[in-house]
Amino acid sequence: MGKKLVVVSEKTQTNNSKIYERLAAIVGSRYVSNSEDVLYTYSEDFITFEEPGKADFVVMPKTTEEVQAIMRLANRERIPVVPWVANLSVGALATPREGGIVLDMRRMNQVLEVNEEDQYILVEAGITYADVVGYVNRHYPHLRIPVTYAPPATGYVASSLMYGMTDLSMAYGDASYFVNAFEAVLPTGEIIRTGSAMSSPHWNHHAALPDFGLIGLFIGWAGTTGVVTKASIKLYPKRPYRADYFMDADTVERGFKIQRDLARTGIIDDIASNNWAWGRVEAGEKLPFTEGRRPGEPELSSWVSFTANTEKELEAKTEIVKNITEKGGGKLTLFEEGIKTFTKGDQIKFFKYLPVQLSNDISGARGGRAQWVGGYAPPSKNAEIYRAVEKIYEKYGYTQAGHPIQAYNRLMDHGHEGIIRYNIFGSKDDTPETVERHRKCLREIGETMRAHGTILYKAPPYFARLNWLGTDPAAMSIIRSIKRMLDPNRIMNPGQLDF
Amino acid sequence: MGYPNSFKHIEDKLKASNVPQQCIHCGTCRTWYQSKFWNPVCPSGQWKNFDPYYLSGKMQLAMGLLKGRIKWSKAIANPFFECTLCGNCAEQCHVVETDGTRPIYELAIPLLEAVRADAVAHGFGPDEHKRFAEAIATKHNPYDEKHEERTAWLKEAIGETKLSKKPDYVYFVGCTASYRQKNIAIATARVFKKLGLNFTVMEEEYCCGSPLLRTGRWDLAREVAKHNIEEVEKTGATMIITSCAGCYKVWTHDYAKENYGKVLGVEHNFKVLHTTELLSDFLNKGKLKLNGSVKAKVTYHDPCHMGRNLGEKGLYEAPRNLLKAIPGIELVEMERNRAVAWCCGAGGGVKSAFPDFALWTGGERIKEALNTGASMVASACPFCWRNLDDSARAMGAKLDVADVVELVDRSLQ
Repeated sequence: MGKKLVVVSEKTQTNNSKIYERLAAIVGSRYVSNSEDVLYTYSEDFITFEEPGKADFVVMPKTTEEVQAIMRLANRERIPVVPWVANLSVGALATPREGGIVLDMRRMNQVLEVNEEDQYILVEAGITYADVVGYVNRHYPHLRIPVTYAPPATGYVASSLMYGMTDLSMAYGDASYFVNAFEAVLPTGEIIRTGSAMSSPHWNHHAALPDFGLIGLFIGWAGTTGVVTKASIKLYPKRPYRADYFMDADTVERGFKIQRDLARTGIIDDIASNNWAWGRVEAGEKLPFTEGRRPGEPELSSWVSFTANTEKELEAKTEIVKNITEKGGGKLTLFEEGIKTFTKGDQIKFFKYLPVQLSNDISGARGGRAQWVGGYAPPSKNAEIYRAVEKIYEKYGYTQAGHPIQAYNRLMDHGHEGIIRYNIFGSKDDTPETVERHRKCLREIGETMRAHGTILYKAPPYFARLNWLGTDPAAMSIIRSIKRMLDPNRIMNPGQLDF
Repeated sequence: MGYPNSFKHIEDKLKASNVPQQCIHCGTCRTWYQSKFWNPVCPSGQWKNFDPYYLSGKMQLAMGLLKGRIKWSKAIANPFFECTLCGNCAEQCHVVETDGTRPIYELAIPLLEAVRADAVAHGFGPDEHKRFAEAIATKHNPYDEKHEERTAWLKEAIGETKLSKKPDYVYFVGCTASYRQKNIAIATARVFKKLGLNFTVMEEEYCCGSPLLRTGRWDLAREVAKHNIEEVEKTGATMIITSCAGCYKVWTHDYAKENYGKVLGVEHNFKVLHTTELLSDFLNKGKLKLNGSVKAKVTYHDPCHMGRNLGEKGLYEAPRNLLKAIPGIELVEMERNRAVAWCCGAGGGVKSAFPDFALWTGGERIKEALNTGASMVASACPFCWRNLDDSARAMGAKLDVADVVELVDRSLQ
C-alpha cells in the first residue's frame, strides 16, 4: 500500500551520519549504534528459514519521550522503524526488511507499579519474562504473573501483543486477554493510552470509551501501528496447591476430545500437547529415531495443570480430571512419576517452573534452526488439521521417525480458542535446496490450515498474506484505513504484514 | 565449513555437538537460569546492552564468520574482547544432548577463546593486549616490571630470600601478587612459614600464560608454559601451591592434556593446590589452628577461574571453611555465589583494555556485597582483589577488601 519509503541504506553516507547524530542527541551516543557487529546481529533471525534484512541503526531508548522523539525523526525522514525486544517470535517479526532503525526496547524494562488491590502490574514494554518473574517473586511472592514455555529473555509485552500463550490461558484466554491497557507512541509521535488508562489514572481494565479501549490498535499488528511503551498486565493469587499430569491418548482424535472435555470443567489452568514423536524428544530419546511409532505409544501426549486453594479442593479437581480422562479413554500420569522414565531429566524437570529454555523444542534437529506455522484454529478442527498436515509432511519427505517434526497444541479459554502449531527443524548448515524444501512445506501447511479456518499468528510476510487473502473485504478496508491513519508514511515495520 | 587453525584443538568436539549451530539466540545466557529472582549474569551484555555482547550475539557473529557472511574487522572483533570470559553465560545454557551433556555449557568458553585467537591471527584485538604480550615476552610479566624484582617482596614477608633447596612445595606466586598485590604474596609466605612448610619461590618464575591464553596469543603461551614446567621440575618439588585463581586455572585446567595441554605441547604431573585448598586441608587435619579473632562481617567473592571455569572441579568450599573457622568472622553470602557468582570485572584482558567496563562490573559486585550488610569482601585471587578494591574506591564505598589468606595470617598473629 501507499508510498515507497526511502530506505536509509540507499541514502548517502552524509545523511546517514546526520541521522546518527540526531539519534545520538536523543538517546545518548552510548545507546545508538551503526557498528557492523551490532547491525549484523539485529538484521537476521538466527532461528528461522526467513531471509535476513538489513538494519541501518540500532537505538535503545530509555523513556517514552525518547521513543517519541525517535518516531518524530523517523516519520519526518521517512525512515522505517522496527520495534525489537528479543527477536524470539520464531516468525522473524522483528527483521528490518526495508532497512532503517531497529528500536531495541530492552532498556525500558522497569516495573512501574504493582497494584495488589486491583491485581495488576504496570511494566515498561521492554521487560522480559526473567525481569518480571524475578520482580514478582522477590517483592510479591504470593502473586502469580502468567508466563509461557518460552525462554527467559522473551519480551513479555511483545508476546502479549502477538497473541502468545500463558500457563493460565486455559482459565483466562490467550496472552492478549491479560492486558488491561497500553501506552504507545504512534508513528507520527503522539502518545496514546488505551483501556481504563485512557480516561482514568488507573490501569485496571481493558474497557473504556469506546469498548475495548483501543488496545486492538496494537494487538496482532506486529509492530506496524506504533511502539507500545507501557502495559498493564493482570496478576493472580498464587494458589498454594498444584497438580501437573501427563495425559496420553492413543489417537489425536481421542486426545483432543478429552482436552475439550477437560476444558469445559472450568477447573484447569493450562493444557498443551505434542505429537508422539515430540513426546519422545521431550523424554530425551536419542536422535535420530530409528523406528516409527511403537505399539502402545500414545499418538498425542498432553500435560494438564491445575491449582487449588486447599488440599481438599485439589483432591476434588483431581478426581474430576481422572474421571474425564478415564471416560475418554486416556491415561493420566502424575508429572513427577512420568519424568522418572525420561532419560534426559535436565530440561523436563523445569517444565513446571517457567520461563524455560526449551532447547529441544527449537533445536530439535540439533542444528539450531526451526520455524513453525501456527495459528488460532477452531478447536473442533484440531484432529482434522493434524491428519491433513501429516500428509503434507509425508509429501515433502518429513517423517516422525528420524528427525521428527513437532505438532503442538494449546487449548485456551475453556476451549473457546486454541493454537495449533507445526514445526520443521533444520540446521544452520542446511543447503539452500534444503531450506527451500522447508519453506515450501511450511507454506503448504499454512495454506491447508487457512483452508480449515485457521487464523495464522506470528506470521512472516508470506503467511500474513495468506491471512489477508481470505479476509472479508469490508474488514480489510477498515484495517487498511486504520493503518493509513496511524502510519501515513508507512514507516512501522514495513514489509511485515504486507497488506 | 572450514574452521580456522585456532579452532583445530576443539574442532572435533564442535562438530560432534553442532556448536555454535545449536545456539538458538534464546537469551537464556543472560540471567541465572531457574533461580527465584532471575538475576543478570553477563557483565558484557549488561554493560553494553547491545545484542553482540551477550553470548547469543557472539555465537551469531561466530556463525557469520565461519560461514563467511562477515569478515574480521575492528567492529566485529570488539564484542569478543569486551567480555571478561567469566563463563556465567555458558553456566546458564541448558541446550542439552540426549545423553544429558550440555554442549554450549562445555564449549562456549573454549570457542570464544579460539575466536579471539583467530581475531589476533587476522591482526585484530586491543593494543593493550599486544603491549602486555610484548612485556611478557621480554620481562616475563604483563606489567612491564623488572624480572629481577619479581621476588623482592620475599624479604618483607619472611626476612629472607633464600628458601629450601629441596622443597616439597613450590609457591607459584603469579605476576599480580609479585608486582601489584604483594600483600597476598607476603601473607601467603608468612602463613607457610608459621606452618613450617618446606617451600620455595622460583626466581625464574615467568607469567603462567593466563593473560595470553585468555586473549588469543597462544604462541607465546606455549613458551612460558614450557619454561615454568621446566623450572618447577628443577626444584624437585612435586606440589605447586598458588594463591592466584588465574594461575590455578592454568596449572590445573589449561595445561591438562584433555584441555589445552596438547595444543600448548605441555604435560606435567605436579599436584597443584590453591592456597585455600591446602590451608583448608590443614585445618581439617588440625595442623592449622586459627585462634586470633578478626572481627568482621565478611562476604566471599568466588573468582571465576577457580570456580565455574573448572566445572565440577570448582573450589567453593575451601575458602569458606577457612573464613568460618576464623574467630570473629561472620560469613554472609551474596545472592549470586559459587557457580553463578557475578564476575569481579578484571578477567579476560578487560582490566587493561576496557578499564571503565572493569570498574562498572566490579561496582556491581560491590553493591551486591554491600546489600548483605558485610563490612568486608574477601576473595582468593589477586586480580579480583585489585579490581574489587579499585571499584569500591571509585564508588566511595565503605567496604574493605581482603584475601582469605590475609585473614588467615591475621588470625595466626
